[in-house]
Amino acid sequence: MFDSFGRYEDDFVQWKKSGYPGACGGTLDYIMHLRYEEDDSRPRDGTLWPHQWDAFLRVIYAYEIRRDELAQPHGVLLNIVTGGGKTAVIAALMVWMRLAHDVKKFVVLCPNLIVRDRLEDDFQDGKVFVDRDLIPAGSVARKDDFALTTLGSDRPGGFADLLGANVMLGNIHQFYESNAAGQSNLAALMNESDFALFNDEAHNTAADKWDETLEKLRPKTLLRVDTTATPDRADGQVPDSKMICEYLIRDALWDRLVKTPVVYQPNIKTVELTYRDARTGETRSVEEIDWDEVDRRGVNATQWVTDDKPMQQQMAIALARLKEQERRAERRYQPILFVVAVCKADAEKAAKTLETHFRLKTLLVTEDSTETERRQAAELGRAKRGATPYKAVVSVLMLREGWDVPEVGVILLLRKFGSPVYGQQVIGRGLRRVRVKGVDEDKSQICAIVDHPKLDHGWLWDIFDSKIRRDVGIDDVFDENEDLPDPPRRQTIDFPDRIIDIPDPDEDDSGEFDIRIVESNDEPLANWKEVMDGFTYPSETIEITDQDITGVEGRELRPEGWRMREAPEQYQDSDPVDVDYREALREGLLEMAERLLEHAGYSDQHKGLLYSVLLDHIKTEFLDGASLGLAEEYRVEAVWRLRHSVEEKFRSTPGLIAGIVKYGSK
Amino acid sequence: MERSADQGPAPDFMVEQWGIYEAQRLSQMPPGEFRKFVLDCYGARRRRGESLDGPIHGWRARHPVWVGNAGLDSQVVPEEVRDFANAIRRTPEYRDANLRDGTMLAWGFSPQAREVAGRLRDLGELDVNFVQLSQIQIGSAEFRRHVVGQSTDKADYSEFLTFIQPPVVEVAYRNLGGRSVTFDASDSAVMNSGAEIINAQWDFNHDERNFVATPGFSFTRDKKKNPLLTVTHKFSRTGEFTVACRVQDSKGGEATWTGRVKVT
Repeated sequence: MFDSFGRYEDDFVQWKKSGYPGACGGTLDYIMHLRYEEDDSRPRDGTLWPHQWDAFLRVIYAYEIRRDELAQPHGVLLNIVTGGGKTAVIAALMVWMRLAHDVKKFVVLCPNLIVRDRLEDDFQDGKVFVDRDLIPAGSVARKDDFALTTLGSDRPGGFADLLGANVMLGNIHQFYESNAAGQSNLAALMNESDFALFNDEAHNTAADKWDETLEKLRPKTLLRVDTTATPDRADGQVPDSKMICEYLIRDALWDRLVKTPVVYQPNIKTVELTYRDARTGETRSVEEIDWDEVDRRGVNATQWVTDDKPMQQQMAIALARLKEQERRAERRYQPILFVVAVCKADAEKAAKTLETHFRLKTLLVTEDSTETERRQAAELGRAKRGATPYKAVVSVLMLREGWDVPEVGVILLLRKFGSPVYGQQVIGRGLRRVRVKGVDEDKSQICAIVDHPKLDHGWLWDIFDSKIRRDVGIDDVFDENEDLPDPPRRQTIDFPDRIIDIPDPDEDDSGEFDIRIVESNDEPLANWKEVMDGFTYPSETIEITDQDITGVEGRELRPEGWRMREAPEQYQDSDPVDVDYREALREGLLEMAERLLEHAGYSDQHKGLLYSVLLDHIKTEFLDGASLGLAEEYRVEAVWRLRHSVEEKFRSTPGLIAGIVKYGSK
Repeated sequence: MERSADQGPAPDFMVEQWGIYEAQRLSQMPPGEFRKFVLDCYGARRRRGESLDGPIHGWRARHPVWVGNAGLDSQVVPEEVRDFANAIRRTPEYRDANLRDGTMLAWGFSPQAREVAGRLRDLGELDVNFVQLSQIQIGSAEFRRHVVGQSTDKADYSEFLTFIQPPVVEVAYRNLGGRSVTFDASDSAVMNSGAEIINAQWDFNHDERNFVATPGFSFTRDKKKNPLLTVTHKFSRTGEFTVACRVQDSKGGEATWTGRVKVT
């Protein structure tokens, strides 16, 4: 996605240095609240992290200084890596809009229930505002100004509940006009005061309905802020907002905000990754499966299940990594294994294997999971501090976004990612750092990913700049400090003024294919019947219809001279085959009709018409007008022998088939 | 003699539903509606701002899709192939992501159109600019494979999306004398894949409006319980009669033949 902020970077730096000229009074007061008095270049400890502070200021700059260029008409986008704390930025922006622009309504849209639940946890009872000290004491804003109303199937909603609500959190579906609840919610929103809109996981803005809904909300939207870790959508498009902030994996690694991914791959000869179709029993290797098709068809439409042996081998490698993670955790938290399966059937099998073969308490989360199971998945990390014995969670793609459990320390990939977006999202599940008591904030943490060379994920590991351990044995155990890498070098822009906007290629200049098109002489023959009636056929024809090999002899030159070898048994005499010429001819004519249509490039929907024409033709030419069923046997047999000549006449007469298709049924 | 495809009412074209669609009626849809129907069947979607009259009609994932005309006798011509390829070449997917694929869906493709697609593909051996086009006939096995591929694993939907065709009914007859006539419908043929003729009914005194099977000829079977396609009937008098034969296949296709028969 294009960085729309690049050309303003220099100006933005100057703006900050100069004390935010052009910003309104309320904005300046709020900035003062979040920063140190003595050092106004960084946020106060306990409020925002430096990169969150930077994102926050960029939105202010876009809204108050460069509104026409950046914030209008479709808002701004913050590209912040998973674990980078998008929610705190959203919360700070809400307070800023409340204090500086007197906005009292905030709409937070998300794509699914998992994301919604996570956001709900953060906003419930003003938790994020309190935790990050975002509301200045003595200001007009209070925690109650950000009271949360969550929309959803089991939550309130509709006109009555939304009137007077401050922060409205819901799936985008809650605002679709195609359902009654959506209409009511939409009406409530559009009849109240203007609001700020936060579109979380904005890369999902692919659905037409989503676009329509955002467009409907636009007249009342003062500011729209999209947040995502993967702005490029699965369909290759990007959201229509302008990206003004990029905080990527390398930045987060440098700041020790996320774990470092380390990839473990077995030897391809030791672990042969194969799958079986649960419906048909067909077995395929990983290379033989069309993974794009698997993505397109979705989790329910495919039945590829990992075979027992490779599944158990990969799990053994993953469990060895889990043990290493447990040693690193030093009992301060329980690391969790996250298994990414191909489909629901694969997930069920993986969960069963972990439970029964490896005796690991496992939670299975699929589309069929209950609300309780979904909650359990979301609370895995927290619950472990109580009594939950879950050490593994198995899912398909359902948990690819919004599910953030920092304790996920090992990811086992049983499937290949065709889509770069899905791949990054899934790995993102393991990148959130564990922040519990006793864990050193500066110490490196890793997320171990068990992959397979045949999954061909090199591109994904390039994105994460991951260390890759190859030829890992089933029983290998590594020292817990061995794989903790130094943070990678961070890229910074030394000369922001030199950034240039590379325009999209000019469509007119992209060139065209220089394909010469030959005019066709095959005009449909209006007089096709006349032409057909003029066909002549040889009165006698000899056709080799079958041949019997009565023997095969071989000769071998030996010192004593040629020696004859006997024929194999299959070349002995065979019985002549009885042919039902009438039935064979009917079938032959149908197949002939199909071939002729295919050759002429027409749909086989005309097969019936052409079959009738062919039948009439041979009845007239060879059967004295009788049907195949009533004609004399010797005549039918003669037609059978001439059928290739008939087909050749039809095929080689330009425009004949086209004429029959065009004029034949009239 | 005349033939008529006498079928019951076809279902509405509710694309949300799997169903059996009569090809003839599909072909009479307005062009935009037909394209939308085919795109929906194929699992493709239009992007914002794209028109069904434009050079690219929809997208399935990142692959551009083009749909031909509704007419059953329509064929894609070489110019359409070239224009679609050039439109693909102008997309960000082609320029930025090196995606070189496209899909054309149509009832038929002229040999020249196929040849142009082949040349566009062959360009890839010499040049970075080329396009690989899949030319898929609507209603073909390949098309159905793509369509049913979108369904879930819980049920076998392969029978559900069907472009049903009536059978071809071919009838010949022979006077045996004494008012007896042998009728032969054994040259009739089913057009639907995997179907077979399950019944042939005869109306030997057809009023040219309503088909009423002659008693004893509504469900005829031979000794092996197969439908009897050759029957003999003794008329009550000599003279000319209108005879009708209705043939039904196992996939729901049905057609009726009518003809004037001179009985001696």
